[in-house]
Amino acid sequence: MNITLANLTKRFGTVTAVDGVSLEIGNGECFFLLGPSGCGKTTLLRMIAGFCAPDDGRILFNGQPVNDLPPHRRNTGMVFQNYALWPHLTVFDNVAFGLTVPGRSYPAPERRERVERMLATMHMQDLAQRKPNRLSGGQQQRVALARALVIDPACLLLDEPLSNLDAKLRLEMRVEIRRLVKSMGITTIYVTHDQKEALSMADRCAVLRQGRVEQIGSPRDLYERPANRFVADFIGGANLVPGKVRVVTAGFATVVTAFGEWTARNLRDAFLPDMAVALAIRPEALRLRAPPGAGLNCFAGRLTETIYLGEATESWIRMPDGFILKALESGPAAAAPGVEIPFHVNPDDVVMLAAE
Amino acid sequence: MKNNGAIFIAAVILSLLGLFFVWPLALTVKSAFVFNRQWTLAFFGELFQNPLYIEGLLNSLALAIATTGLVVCLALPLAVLAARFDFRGKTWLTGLVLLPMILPPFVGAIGIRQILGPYGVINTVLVNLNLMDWSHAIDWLGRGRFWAVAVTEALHLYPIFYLNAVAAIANVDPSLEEAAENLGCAGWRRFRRITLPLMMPGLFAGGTLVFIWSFTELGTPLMFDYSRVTAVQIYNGIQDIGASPLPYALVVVMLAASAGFYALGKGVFGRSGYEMMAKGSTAAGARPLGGARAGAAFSLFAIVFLLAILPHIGVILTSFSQAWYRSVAPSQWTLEWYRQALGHDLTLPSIRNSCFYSLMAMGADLILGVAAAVVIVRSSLRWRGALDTLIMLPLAVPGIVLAFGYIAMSQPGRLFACLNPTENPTVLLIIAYAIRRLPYVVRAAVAGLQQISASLEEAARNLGCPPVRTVARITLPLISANLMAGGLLAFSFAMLEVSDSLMLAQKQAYFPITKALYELFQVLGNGPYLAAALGVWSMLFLGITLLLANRLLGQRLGAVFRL
Repeated sequence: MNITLANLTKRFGTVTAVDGVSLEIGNGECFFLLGPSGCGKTTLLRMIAGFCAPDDGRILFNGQPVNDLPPHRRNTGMVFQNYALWPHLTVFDNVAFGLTVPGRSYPAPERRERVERMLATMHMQDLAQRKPNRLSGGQQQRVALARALVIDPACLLLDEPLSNLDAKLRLEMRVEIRRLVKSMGITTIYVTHDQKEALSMADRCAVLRQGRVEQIGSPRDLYERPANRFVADFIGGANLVPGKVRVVTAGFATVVTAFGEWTARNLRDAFLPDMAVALAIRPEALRLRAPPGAGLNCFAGRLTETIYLGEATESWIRMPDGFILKALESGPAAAAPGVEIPFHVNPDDVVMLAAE
Repeated sequence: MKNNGAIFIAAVILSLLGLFFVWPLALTVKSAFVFNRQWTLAFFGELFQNPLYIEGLLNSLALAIATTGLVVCLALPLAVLAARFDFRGKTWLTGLVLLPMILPPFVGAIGIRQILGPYGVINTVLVNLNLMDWSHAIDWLGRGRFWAVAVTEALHLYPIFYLNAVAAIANVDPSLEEAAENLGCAGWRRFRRITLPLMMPGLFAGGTLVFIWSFTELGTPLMFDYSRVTAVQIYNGIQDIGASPLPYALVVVMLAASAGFYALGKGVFGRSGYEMMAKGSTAAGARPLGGARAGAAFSLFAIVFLLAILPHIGVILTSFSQAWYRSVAPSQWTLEWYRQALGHDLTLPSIRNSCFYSLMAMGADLILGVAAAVVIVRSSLRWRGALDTLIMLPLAVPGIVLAFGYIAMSQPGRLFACLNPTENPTVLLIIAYAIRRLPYVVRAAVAGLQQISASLEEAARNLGCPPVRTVARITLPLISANLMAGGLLAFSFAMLEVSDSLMLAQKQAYFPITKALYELFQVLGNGPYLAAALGVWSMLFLGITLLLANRLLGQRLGAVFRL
């Protein structure tokens, strides 16, 4: 099923939670709504499920408007952030519930077979007679997923489904959920604030801020070609260095900053000389050693802080004008704090953005 | 929830409350001020010039003050002990101290008279110890029986205050106390400076409830023949309700006074409620007491409990006694009264009537209560807060006032003349019981709904379950414990209703238990013994329901009794 959102708006009192959002989600696509808390992503999902009515705009399933359809007639399968497993029903009855409602009531043997098949897919067949409060977080997650999928919904809606799991389980479930929805070919909308989840699982992703879409694109697009400072900073984090364009050449530009001249990729031909811009430089793009011979984007600054992160070390480099650049390197710290340290950045890793 | 459904439910509840709560009160007030289509204050002038009525009001006030004072002294120490300390036997002692609620205090009056009366237990003991002789017997019931009424009411009402106080303490985040202790403030000082101020709103809520209850209590003064109180004067006034508007004025004064106390308790003293940053964590719960301290705590509970069940023991002993006069315990035992009670035309029919009225009222309360709670908690209606407040209002209006309003609105020629209780009070009694106890059921259902996440219902909707079916399959099973507890409370309090029952039931065939008890008690000869037997039955019955409710709700039982 493809889903179209046209100019969707929702206000709560004076707050506009969702502000004119338009999206096209293709059949079988794994689409992510990504943004910080309060950006309207859950409201958007709840409008698609039918739990809150938009003040403006339309929601279309396969081209049919569903604005006036109540939630129980939309045939979506939703996984709630707190799983919303019914504590008075067993795992089996929780999963079977959606097969006992008007319009989808199957005869008992078929119901049993479908539920058991779904539980087996989730490796939960042994726990079918347990009550939810006797399951671990990961198990509850699987039951919630099974309950949503067993009804063969037209689309799967996931509201931060992994936020209550521990870090290790979260990584496992990412792979598992993606494999599952892809093998079923079901249209999936996944809400999260965790950019790593989005980058690793999404086909496409919409980044939201204050109810508006900032950028829609593949994970790679978002990471390598962020549309603006917010996206660059929210996804992966970036050093944002203010500067002014000096020269524009094919595909590249020279930008003057307070501590020297940078060569940056010019992805969008919208930049002209003398324009104020921001350079987005990923911390891991800073190489903390002088390149062999003089090259582009070579600078030096004083190392003020090294932060041990286990698999990597973060270094803070204070530039002559006081600006602090953050660098991320695998392995131990390159030098002790206080030392003057040279570094360089590949021009391909410097993205030019509008200054805002 | 869809707004159309919510508006429909709200409209039904509002019109029911309008017809059977607002209308009778408004009619009563109007009748007090308007006579022959003319505004007048003459009846109030007459009222306040009559020394009898002034004395009644002052006595009611004094009774309320004395009762509330006694209640605080009895219940506050117990509440602190129960909420903050652990000791052997605490679990069942805290359950036992709730027991006195199971009998209307006016039945306990039978027992109190046996114990404190001039020929009662205390004097017998004193005579046996040669400290007194029968010719100089002291009447411990007190001059005019004032203290007998106050003590009987206090021994009945202290559990309400106790439940409020326990909840208030439990609501105080223990880390706030720990913070005080960390800064060097411990023990009694910590209680006085941190705990007590934080629990004050809860205490005032409980205190107000007890105060208004005792201010408007009808049954106990009636049983002690303490007739110079406003409630009894109103009761006696219903005979000439058609002839004189004076009873209306008296009711309006009582209503105004109660509303004033309510506003005072809620608005002035109870206002400074503090929002707790964190809910009380379980980590720093009750502190274990050992040795002598545990013994002292145990004894305190035991003493209060024994005092409180003394009237009830008196009732039980009376029901089994051949004669009980100038002796510590009855000198001869018999089952005769139970046998006679079985055959008496006041007892069995009254039990049947009460069960029927109370069941109907409970059913109505459960249906309305669930519907109202769903609207209050789950809908987005703008004025759902106002609906909540209106539903809770019957708690603040004394039963005697509402009952008077019902009699007033069913007078010949008035809107509800068809319900006139002199013919058949069934409908009015059920309505009275239901309206008075609706707040309990609504509070229980609201508490239940607030505890279950709305996403549990949304998940069912999402999987294709229509709204009403979702309520039946998901919501109701999840709040069933709350509903059972709320229903049981509504039922048992309906069985205990005194003022409504005494005022509305005027034909013997329709008497509920409480009215039958009062009538039996006045029968000379074996009357009091039969009343005692009937009292023991209702005691058993209600004890079981309340224990069940306590089991189901646990600590949350207190929430049901908060204003």
